[in-house]
Amino acid sequence: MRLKFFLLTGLFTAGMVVANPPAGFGAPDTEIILGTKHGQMRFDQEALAVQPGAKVKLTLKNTCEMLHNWVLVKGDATVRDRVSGKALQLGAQSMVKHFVPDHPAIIASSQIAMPGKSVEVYFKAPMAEGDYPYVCTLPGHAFTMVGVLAVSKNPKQALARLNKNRPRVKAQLPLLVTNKPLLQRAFVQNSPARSICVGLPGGVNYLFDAETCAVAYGWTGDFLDVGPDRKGRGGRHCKILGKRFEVGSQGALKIGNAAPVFRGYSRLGIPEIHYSVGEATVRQTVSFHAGLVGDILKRGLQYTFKVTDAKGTVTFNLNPANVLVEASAGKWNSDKTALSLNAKEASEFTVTLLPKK
Amino acid sequence: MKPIQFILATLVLASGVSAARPMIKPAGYQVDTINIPKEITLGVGGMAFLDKTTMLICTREGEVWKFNTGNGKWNLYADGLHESLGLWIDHKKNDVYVMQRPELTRLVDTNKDGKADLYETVNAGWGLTDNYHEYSFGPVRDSKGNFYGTLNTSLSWPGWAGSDKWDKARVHDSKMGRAAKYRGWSFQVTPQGKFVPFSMGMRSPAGIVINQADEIFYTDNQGDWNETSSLHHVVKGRFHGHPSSYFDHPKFIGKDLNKISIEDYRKMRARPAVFIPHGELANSPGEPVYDYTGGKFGPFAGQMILGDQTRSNLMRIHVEKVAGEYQGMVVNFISPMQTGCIRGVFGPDGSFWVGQTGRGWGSVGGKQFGLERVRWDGSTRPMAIHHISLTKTGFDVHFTLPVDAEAGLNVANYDILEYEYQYRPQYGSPKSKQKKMKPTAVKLSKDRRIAHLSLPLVAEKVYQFNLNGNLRSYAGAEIANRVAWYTANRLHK
Repeated sequence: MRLKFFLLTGLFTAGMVVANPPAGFGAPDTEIILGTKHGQMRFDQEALAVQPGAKVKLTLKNTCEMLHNWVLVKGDATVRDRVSGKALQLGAQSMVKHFVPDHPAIIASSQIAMPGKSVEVYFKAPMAEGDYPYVCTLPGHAFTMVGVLAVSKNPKQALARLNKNRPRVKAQLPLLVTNKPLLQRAFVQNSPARSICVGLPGGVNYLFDAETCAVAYGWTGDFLDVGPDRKGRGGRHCKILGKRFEVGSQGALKIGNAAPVFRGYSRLGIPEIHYSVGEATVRQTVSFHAGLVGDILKRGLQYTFKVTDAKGTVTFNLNPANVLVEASAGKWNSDKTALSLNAKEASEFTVTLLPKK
Repeated sequence: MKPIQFILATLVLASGVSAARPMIKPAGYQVDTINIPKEITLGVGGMAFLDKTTMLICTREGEVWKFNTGNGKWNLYADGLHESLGLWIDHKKNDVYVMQRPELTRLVDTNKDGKADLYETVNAGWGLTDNYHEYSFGPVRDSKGNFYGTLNTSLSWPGWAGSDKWDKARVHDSKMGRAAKYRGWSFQVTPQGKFVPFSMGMRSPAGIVINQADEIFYTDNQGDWNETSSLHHVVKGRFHGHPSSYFDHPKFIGKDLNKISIEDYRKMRARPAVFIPHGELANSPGEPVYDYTGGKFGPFAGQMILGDQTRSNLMRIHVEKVAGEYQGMVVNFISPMQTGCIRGVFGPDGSFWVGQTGRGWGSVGGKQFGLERVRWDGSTRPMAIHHISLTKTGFDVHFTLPVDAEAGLNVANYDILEYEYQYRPQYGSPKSKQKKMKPTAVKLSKDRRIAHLSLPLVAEKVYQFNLNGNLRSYAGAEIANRVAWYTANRLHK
């Protein structure tokens, strides 16, 4: 049975919404306060447990500067990701619908909790014992803001089981991203010698090659194990801790025939990488990008390029075999292996990349 | 005042705990151990003072820490670097230059929040593979604004490297080679940012220093083509001894370096200014540091203080020009410190800060990293060999205090061992052609601070001076370190 307590108040004001128990709900028998980890895109509890049929009052306390919601789903992680993917397609309806799409798998959902505010959601837990994933469906949050609600006659035991089975980082000396991007230059397995690793909040990371001046690949999940290089004599390669994805790198922006020269980076905000090509200067930031591949929400990267002093055409080259790509400006060639921009277009443009697999 | 009193108290406490250590130190010197917060891993790679109380320390872990020597507080200045093994501060702009494996980088705090936010590549003109031995050391800067650094050879022998992908330019089956451009070279980066290959033939050049006359020295570790650890005078175009670097020399490109004989390489190389005996004094020397304190650190002003990463000791080096080239003496100073000594810097008060790392190789003392400070009490004059100079007829042994007249004049109190090392592609060299000697005569200077020893001399030998325990100061004080080595590459004409 699907219970939906998604209330469209029409008077959507920041944090002022108090969802009363729906008529006939009665007094809740289970109360849960669920918080967020500041800036980390994580719930403060990633495992919850209730009795079958429990009358639950869940309070989502948002301690971040961004918006969050809470959606409980029937099914596995794939179903959860389909729901998150559908949330992305709400478009203009997003705010009105609190980023909650119409989807038969949704058991319960909250309104948006504004920064620093709380929202409440009342729902009756399913009668069927089992694990039900929950997620924040705001764009980009759905990969790391996840958890599992166990419905069990023995909630204590179920909670212990969930906590025990939660994936642990297997690493000698892990560098883990919390609420700020991390940057570490290091030797990494199967990667160039002049590698720069960057981990972004939200669980997406990339490796930039300071020799070719281009992102070599990305990976989802945790950041980096530096143990092999730092324990003992070291000298062994650091390991990426997540799942690698290809970005179809074909090197730096091409501007004339000059070779790119790496110039460094700024770490005010997310890292901004600098390189020059002949007379031209390129500043590139790489940020978290989420988008749909099929109907599944996937993590990818967004490059923002700012090119100054370019004389002539600026070209972004790509191997599109494994990526879905979109650009904010310029003209693609027929097989989408090269994006050409004039100097004005190149002054600021973005390229978004989503791994197909 | 309270925080300062507190840190002084902890310093005293820390040194009090280790009262028995170091075992050897001249009178008037004290070693303080600095407490490092648990959260910090401080495999020291470089040190410099930003102002009177702020020391910057960069680390193997790729971090740059600001350490307040007054209140003992630590603040992170930069991180994410690739094995930062040296730093230099531009005091006019407060910019920090840091040497990482892949590049020389300028760190700038553009928003003045106390933390670097702009990491600007100054130069990355050398080659780099993922071979773990390809360290980059430096920088030092001359009065004209040129930076200098040194580049380690690659570990190329597949038997040790575990792969043949770095097996390039090993000469006469030595272990180290050249897997990427300019490995084994020193380099200059001009004020315009241009990379200039400078001198060549380095093996594991972990320490570099520049003096007030813009003269550069570096230390090398014992190994293939390096008979024992050594101090070298860097001169543009010079070949210091390890031949793999010839691979990148414009006149040798494409030539088979194995067709050049060991004897020919020997003739081509500039001998080290000072041999530092392996096992007896140093196994892995770090950075030499000039004592420019003008006497605030005791009677050794103008000499170099050198630490060793394996033996965890501090040494003193005194060089002099003989027949146009530098050569000189090395003697132990303080040993052992708590762990491997790789970097050093003099503080504004004239105390000597020692940056330490065991770096997984293991060091006497056993700690993985640390920070210590050596202080001179400002008044006690220890009895020590100040330095040894070559004369036309032998050597002058200079003492810090007048020597006892009777003992000082007795030739039996001066045991001398003359020997040489073999320059060869194998790892290190034993002492060979050893010859035990006594001076043929001894005279003392009027103030009895100099013993003039007469001795038959041969060029390209090392003279090891074993002074007898009977040699004491006029007041009976023992000499703290009674063995010293002089490298006599050349003789006075």
